[in-house]
Amino acid sequence: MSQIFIENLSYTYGNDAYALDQVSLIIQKGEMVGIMGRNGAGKSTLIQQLNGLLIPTSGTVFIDGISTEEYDPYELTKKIGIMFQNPEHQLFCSSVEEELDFSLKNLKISKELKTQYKKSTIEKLELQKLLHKSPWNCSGGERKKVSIACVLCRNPDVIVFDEPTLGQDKYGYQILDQILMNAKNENKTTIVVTHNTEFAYTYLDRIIVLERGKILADGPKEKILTNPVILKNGSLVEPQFSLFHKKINSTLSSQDILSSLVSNSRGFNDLTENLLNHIGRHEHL
Amino acid sequence: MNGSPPSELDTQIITKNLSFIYESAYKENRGEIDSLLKEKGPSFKDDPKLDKFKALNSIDLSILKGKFIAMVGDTGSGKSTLVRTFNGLIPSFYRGIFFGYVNVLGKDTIQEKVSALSQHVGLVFQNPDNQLVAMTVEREIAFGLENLGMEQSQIREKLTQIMEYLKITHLKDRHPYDLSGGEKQRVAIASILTLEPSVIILDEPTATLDPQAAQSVLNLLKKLNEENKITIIIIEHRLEVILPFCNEIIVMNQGNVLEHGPTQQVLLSSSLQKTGVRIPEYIQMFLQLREKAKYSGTIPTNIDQAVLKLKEWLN
Repeated sequence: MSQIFIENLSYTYGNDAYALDQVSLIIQKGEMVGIMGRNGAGKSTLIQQLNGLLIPTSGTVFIDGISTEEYDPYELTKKIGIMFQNPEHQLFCSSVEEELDFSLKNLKISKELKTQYKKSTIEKLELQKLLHKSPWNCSGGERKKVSIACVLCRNPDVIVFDEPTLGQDKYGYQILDQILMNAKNENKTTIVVTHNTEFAYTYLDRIIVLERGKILADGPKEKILTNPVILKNGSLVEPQFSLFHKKINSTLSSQDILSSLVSNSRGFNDLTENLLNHIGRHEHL
Repeated sequence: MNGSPPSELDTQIITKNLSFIYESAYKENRGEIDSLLKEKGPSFKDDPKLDKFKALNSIDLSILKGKFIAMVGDTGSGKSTLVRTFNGLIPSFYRGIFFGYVNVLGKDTIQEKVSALSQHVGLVFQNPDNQLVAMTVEREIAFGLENLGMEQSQIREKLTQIMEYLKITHLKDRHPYDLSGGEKQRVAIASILTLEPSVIILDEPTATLDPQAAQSVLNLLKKLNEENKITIIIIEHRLEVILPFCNEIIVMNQGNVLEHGPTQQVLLSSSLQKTGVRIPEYIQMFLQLREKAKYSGTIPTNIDQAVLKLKEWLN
């Protein structure tokens, strides 16, 4: 049984246009999936169908074999944790700690387990210094981190991020890196809506590109994020190393040493090492 | 600058010894701050013990006309706070303790009304919801011009021009709250552009835009910068997005300006490494080659340049 099965899903906000138009897809447990596409393509609308925030105009969304319309909302939100694009839409308490407490409040688990979930989230996301601060006095990046914490502390089966890299610096990325690695190790399904192709190329396995409410492309990241037609129609840009590789190949013969060094590298870090080794050997001779 | 020092006329924004403590930080630490004031008198503002409460700490900055500046730094380093002093929002709307001096286009921001400063210094917020108030996109963009008392025919002409520039004509009758995040950001930018300010400050303006829309907004800002000499200051976490466009970088860390200078100078210095700014991997590659393999050329700021420079160097 697929963890998420979406069948002929259409949704309209009440006007003539369909935000989602006959979308069908399957996401298996443990997949790391990116949902990409231009502004207004239907990405955020799609993820809000997963925990019943939006109910299909037609079609069905099945989570673990049960339609979202048949779920108790409590059970559904426990299974699917969504972190919104704009953290202000989900933060309203007077301190970061109260936000975490509120998020855990309605979980039907023991007090001890709640304390354990809270403690581990604070440590994972390095929130110690923010605990007594009002979310409204946090910076944009810090608020984003708090909103991630409020979702993660509930330990959902499926983690859904809407633009998680927004406003994050190097340290925020390191925390995201850790969260995604943990999710992968725990075989948790992770769905990320993002415009950030560098991030998608680094962390995700499968990319679904939406365009005008329909699926434009769905496949492994290596195929989707390097295909010029999909990139153009999905309003995406190619990841920098892939672009660099193509430009090197288009201007140099495959016999050229630089071309061969680039072809034998998986990314810029790899290429740096290969270049330094090459230069070292050359100088040695 | 052709080697000659900038004249005062070229300088649009000057800050001197600028510090700011938010009211919330003061309230949380009232006892400590008040006892410092009692002990030191007016000179308490320069006491290092006060530094940990400051969102901005003794900032001296000079921004010249026509620059395209990237402001980078960790989350919470004071970037958004600093730009809010440029149009008087701090200290007029955000309460707290303000020290020092900010001069914008020859005017002391303390003496000027925010409404007057806002005509010259346009600020596009990180979250467009914070600045969209009208019932339709068209009314939203016209709002600033109507407040200036511009004639309807002129307003209409300007609206058409701006909406075409930003490719949002099809949205003109929609409610701003029904738009996607990226569409809202484009409307917020349009409403600022109509006032033709001398300085436009944008707080992560393309973060919610799809990559091609982001490129088109940045191209538009570059065009406004080059053709109309509008100074552009963009807060941006993603160096890879902003580097092809900016000619100066301001690096912030814990309320301080660590460095402000031409793009190459900042890329070659160690200030970025001291912050949480993510340096694009291709730039890290060139910095490594410089350090370990005697690469002596400039640091590329886009992939095309990276390809050319690497080919040249290896040949």
